[in-house]
Amino acid sequence: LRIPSRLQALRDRLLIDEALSPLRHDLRNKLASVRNAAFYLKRKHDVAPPPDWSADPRVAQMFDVIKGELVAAEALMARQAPPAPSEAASADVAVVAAALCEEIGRVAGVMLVLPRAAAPRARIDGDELAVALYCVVENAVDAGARTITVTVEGNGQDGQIVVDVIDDGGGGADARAFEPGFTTREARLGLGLNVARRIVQRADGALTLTAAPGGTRARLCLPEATA
Amino acid sequence: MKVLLVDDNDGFRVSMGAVLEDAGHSVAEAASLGAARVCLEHVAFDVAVLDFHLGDGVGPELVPEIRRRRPGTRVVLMSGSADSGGGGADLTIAKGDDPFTIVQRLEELARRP
Repeated sequence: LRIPSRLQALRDRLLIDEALSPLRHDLRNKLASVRNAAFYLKRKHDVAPPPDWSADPRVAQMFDVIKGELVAAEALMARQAPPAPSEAASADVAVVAAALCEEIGRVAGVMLVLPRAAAPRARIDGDELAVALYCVVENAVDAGARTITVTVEGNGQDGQIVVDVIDDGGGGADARAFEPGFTTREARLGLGLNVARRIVQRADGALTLTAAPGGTRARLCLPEATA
Repeated sequence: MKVLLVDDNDGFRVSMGAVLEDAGHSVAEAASLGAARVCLEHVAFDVAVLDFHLGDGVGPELVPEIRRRRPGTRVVLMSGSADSGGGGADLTIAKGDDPFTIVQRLEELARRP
């Protein structure tokens, strides 16, 4: 299965971001610890500096260095982080699903079931939604699915739009599916479902996997876009 | 103010605990949800500060338990991630915030009627 070329750059960027995410999280923890420790020492220094410290002007300078470098490190990480999703972003889920299924359906054996009435738009970027759907379908194909059914329900749970991707790949709901790096195939990063989940969560939605007869049901619940 | 600080990152827990104690507060540290539950059994904290990702679960798991067992305890969720969500807490703060600001916000929360 090959991702449509129009989505490749976005998918690659999101994969890189997903791979960097744990590192970014751990670095933030470390930087916060250093900031707290420096803050604590600076307060002690300001209240009652040890004689050696008060005689050495470089001690105060070192606190400034630590503070400045922490600010610079945070700025660096913020620059590398993906932009927050636009509040105004919205997508016609049925149209996005139909376009993707048209592009990859012949290869992946995807059947698309759309609602009879027009579904409301979801509060998510259309290209990001397409990447999320692609990642879920790719996961099903990798699990050996021969038939994949994509259904879009316009009036789902709690006024949300529900997209189900049901496959017969026999994968079930493996608890490790969302573990970064977990994959049953060679030459895979094992990050596709993580990318899909992050896209959906960034739109205030949810992605869940449950066992379906002979395979897996991936459910994307997306919030409706406000008019 | 009596603070329960729950974080599996030793560096952050120890440094934040020191900052809070230096500001005149009493701090109990817990490195896991399990350790936090033991603390909550024995002490009525004014504020419980929970990290999002913990070794034996996620901080938001503890929120309904605290609401039920210690309704007077304010709950704060803290994370290094920007996308971790509120999880039903009274306040959400980022670990990257200035320590002085974090202490101020916790004090304000504890004073809230």
